[in-house]
Amino acid sequence: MIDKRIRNVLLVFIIPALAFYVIFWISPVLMSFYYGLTNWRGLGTYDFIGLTNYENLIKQGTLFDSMGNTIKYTLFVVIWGNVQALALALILNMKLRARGVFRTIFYIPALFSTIVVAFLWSYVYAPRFGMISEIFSMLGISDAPNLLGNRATSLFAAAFVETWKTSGTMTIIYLAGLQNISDEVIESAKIDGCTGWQAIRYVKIPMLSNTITVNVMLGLIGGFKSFDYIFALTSGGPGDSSSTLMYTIYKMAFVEMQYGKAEALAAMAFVFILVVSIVVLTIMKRKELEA
Amino acid sequence: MKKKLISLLMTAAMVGSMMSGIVASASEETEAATEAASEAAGESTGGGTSDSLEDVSEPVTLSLMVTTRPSTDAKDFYLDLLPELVHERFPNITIEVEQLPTDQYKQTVRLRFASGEGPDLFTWWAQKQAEDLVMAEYVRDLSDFSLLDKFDSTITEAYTFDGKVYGLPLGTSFLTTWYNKDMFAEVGYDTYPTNWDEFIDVCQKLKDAGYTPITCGDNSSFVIQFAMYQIGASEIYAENPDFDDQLYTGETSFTDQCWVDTVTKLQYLYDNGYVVEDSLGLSQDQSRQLFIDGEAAMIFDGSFGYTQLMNQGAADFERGMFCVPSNAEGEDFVWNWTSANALFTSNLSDDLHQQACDLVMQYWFDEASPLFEAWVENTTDIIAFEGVSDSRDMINEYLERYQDYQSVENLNNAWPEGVSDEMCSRFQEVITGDATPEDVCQAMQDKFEELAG
Repeated sequence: MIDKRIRNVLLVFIIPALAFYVIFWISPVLMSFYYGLTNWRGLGTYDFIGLTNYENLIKQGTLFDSMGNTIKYTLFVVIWGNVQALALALILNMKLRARGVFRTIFYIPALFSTIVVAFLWSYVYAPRFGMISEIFSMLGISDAPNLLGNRATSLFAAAFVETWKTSGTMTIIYLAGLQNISDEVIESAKIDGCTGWQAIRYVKIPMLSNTITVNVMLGLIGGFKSFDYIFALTSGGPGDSSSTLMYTIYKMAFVEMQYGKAEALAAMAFVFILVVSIVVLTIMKRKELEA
Repeated sequence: MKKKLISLLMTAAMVGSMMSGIVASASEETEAATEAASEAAGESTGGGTSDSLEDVSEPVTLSLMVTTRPSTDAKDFYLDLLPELVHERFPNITIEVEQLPTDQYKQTVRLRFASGEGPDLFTWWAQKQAEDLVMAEYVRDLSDFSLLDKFDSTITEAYTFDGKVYGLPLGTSFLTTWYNKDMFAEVGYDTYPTNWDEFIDVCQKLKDAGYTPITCGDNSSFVIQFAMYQIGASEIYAENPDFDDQLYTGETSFTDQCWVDTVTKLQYLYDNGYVVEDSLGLSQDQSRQLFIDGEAAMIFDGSFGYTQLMNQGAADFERGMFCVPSNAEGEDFVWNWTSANALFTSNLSDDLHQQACDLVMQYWFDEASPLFEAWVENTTDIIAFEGVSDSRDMINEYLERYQDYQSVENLNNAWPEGVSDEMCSRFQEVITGDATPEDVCQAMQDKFEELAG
């Protein structure tokens, strides 16, 4: 038990960090709520316009379009990202020859910067001479899909790149989780007659519930923050088909100079992301307890 | 329960932090800083030739901001030569250069001014794009600058507000259609088309000959402007050169027939297979590569693409340039041009910094100075300065055509920022078949009303 006086002294040491956090993180967030009620254009004076920005965002459909795209992007990143990483982790956890080499290879995408990855994938997706196009042409198919240029696929094409980039990190987390499952548990499951798949389904996955929560939350945060791959690969297009919340906020604030309106959208995005994060976290925690 | 509450608060804080990173907050000290700087900026920016100039009295570091440009193996004018040569001539002046990509650049410069600490020297765009900086009194009036007369007055006009000049134009550029002269000759065209029918005819003949007539990197949506403004020049401004001014008075609108026709003509090129298939999947760089590799006969680009488009690709061919003629035969063929960026100086800098800025500008634009020589040799813009001609024959030949045709400054320079982006986004939907030219024009008008209001 720490003495009360010592505890108070220790609390004093928190003040600088807390002040930093409040000044540079909390207060800008609160100020952004205020600016969302103004017609601020980034320069000069502004007027208080109440909820007009919010009304316009709803009326013009900007909010729901960008929110819809963000949800689709996030679902893809969370579901595909986890399936892919779990599958890789299960394979890389097997007793393979040169297992260390494979683990290193699969981690490599995580080492590249976002811009490098986006540049690389812009050539993978490029029609006529891109890698996908070349593969299709080797298979004798002349009509390769134009993934970035199609309204139905551009968002998912960008999301796929994000899952490729983050696969290494998520796989490492799953691997760590798998290595925490003792061999005795797996052996006793086998003695009870579990097949390989059943051992994964009924033993390993439930025992990975903490790890799944971590990776789902990472995917969720990555998905909600989706900006860089959209910016670099599709610029929100074709049309607005891949404009996510963050990209729309960016475009509104920094291209159209509608800072007030962008702040309003940011505030709504904040509430939306907060609610979704709390709901998902609560569900995941409950699942963990059940497992 | 307590743990749960803490974890919920942490989640809220994390999400909040994330949001705050996207939209920065602003300082409210701007007005006071502007007033102080306005008082300090009373001195004239005049002076003699650079030989007689004296260094500032004490060491000073000037901040210079420029947009990121393609890098080469040679020394960069802004990053290397300008700071070196200025420091050599004025040992007390050190220039720190910062370059950023265009969007971040615009944002950073604006926010720095809003927080009272704009860059001492920076490059910026013309007309409407500079208006907010001028109105907020962030930039200095350079009307008294002694070498101002040396700059082409037509270009300087783009940086003039209420009769005062705020930017020193660093040159001009133009949007154009680069073409493969060899392919054109093969289908019977020894020169460029001068009306819409001829243009369509050459597209069709190229297509029939098995060539891709036009490549366009529409994945980089801004390139859509390149074709749109060339078509719009004749379609809109031949009959009404004041169209943009009238947008603000309500006399004209983007939904007017001339704009619908402009968009329709561009759509026609896509609908008839004249533009490369899957253009929405191609970036500007990838599209340029197709052109220099001889896989497409034309590309909508600009004089600013000279270095990249003159590179040797897989095919060896002679290049040419022309403006898309959207006019009917016998009607006015209007060509476009645009002022390149201009050099601006901050009104918020103190006396010493402003004095140093004056010295740098006078040295830079003194024809006898090594700095001027370095600028002329290294710029990618077409310099509009008395006695200086461009060293590139193709560019000079193109500029001579302006004597024969009417010309108009780039369309978007007169609009609020954001309208052109709306146009490009909506036109992408036209390419995918999800919108009509009328939808594009309506969206532009809506955005214009929202942003100009």
